[in-house]
Amino acid sequence: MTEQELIASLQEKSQSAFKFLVETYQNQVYNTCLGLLQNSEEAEEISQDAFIEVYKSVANFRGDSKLSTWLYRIATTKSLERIRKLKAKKRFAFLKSIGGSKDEDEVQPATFLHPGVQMEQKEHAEALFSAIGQLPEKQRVGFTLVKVEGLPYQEVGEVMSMSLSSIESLMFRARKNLQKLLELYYEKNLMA
Amino acid sequence: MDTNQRIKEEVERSLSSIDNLAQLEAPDFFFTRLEARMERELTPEFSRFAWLANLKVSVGVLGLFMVLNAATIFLLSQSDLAEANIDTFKQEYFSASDDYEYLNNY
Repeated sequence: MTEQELIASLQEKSQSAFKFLVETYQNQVYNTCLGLLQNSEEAEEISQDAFIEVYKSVANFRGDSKLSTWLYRIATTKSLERIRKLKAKKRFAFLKSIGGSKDEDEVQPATFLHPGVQMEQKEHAEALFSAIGQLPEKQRVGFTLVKVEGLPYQEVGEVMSMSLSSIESLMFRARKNLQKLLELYYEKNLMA
Repeated sequence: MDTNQRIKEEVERSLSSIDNLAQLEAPDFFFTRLEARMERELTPEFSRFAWLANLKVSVGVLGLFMVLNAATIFLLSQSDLAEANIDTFKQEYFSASDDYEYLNNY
């Protein structure tokens, strides 16, 4: 089935075409969401959200970009929305804790270990993911798509609707910021 | 070893720690769970009232509604009860009494 045929079948709400789409792209979408959200349960839920969004809005998809690019765009947008919600929830939990009430369900793990990391890189990768989590949104998305998903800059540009030179500059800034954050992390941990 | 040098090395190791990151597979039964969620969430509201889309049923319901309305109007018009109720209501709330003398008793 060609991509055009798949899109046409999806637009006709074909269940078999939708199943084919999910089975073809579920790993790509899940990995993107996991890289950004750094939590496997959240990643699965947001991956589902992304596919539901595809099902709802495929009728409006004009095919200006590749299907995979469109899926990356939806997955990153949904993940960023969830990150914002989680941040707002965290701020609210902080205010509640000042007020004296405590909710144990809201406790999040401090570090994230990506299951795809090699064991000997575990500690370094934990520090890196923690630093990625502190990057501004665009840098976080760009860095994750390049490093976690292994996308070329050109495709990252298409996903983020940015030019190649803008992506190069974004990646340079992301790397600089990560260096600073990691330096602070190791200063604190090696001195202790 | 100089601490600054060690920090730089650790930073570089961290930055390259995900260079060979293995791509993960989505959790088992991902599609099954997605399908179940879609059935739960995307069932349109109107499908719960889909029986109304059946022309015969909807005409029947409309007819029954109109008959009940007509019957109610007919029964009310035949009864003196409604008029009596209105009179009682008028007497209780709109009586022309301007006698506030009772206020002097307090």
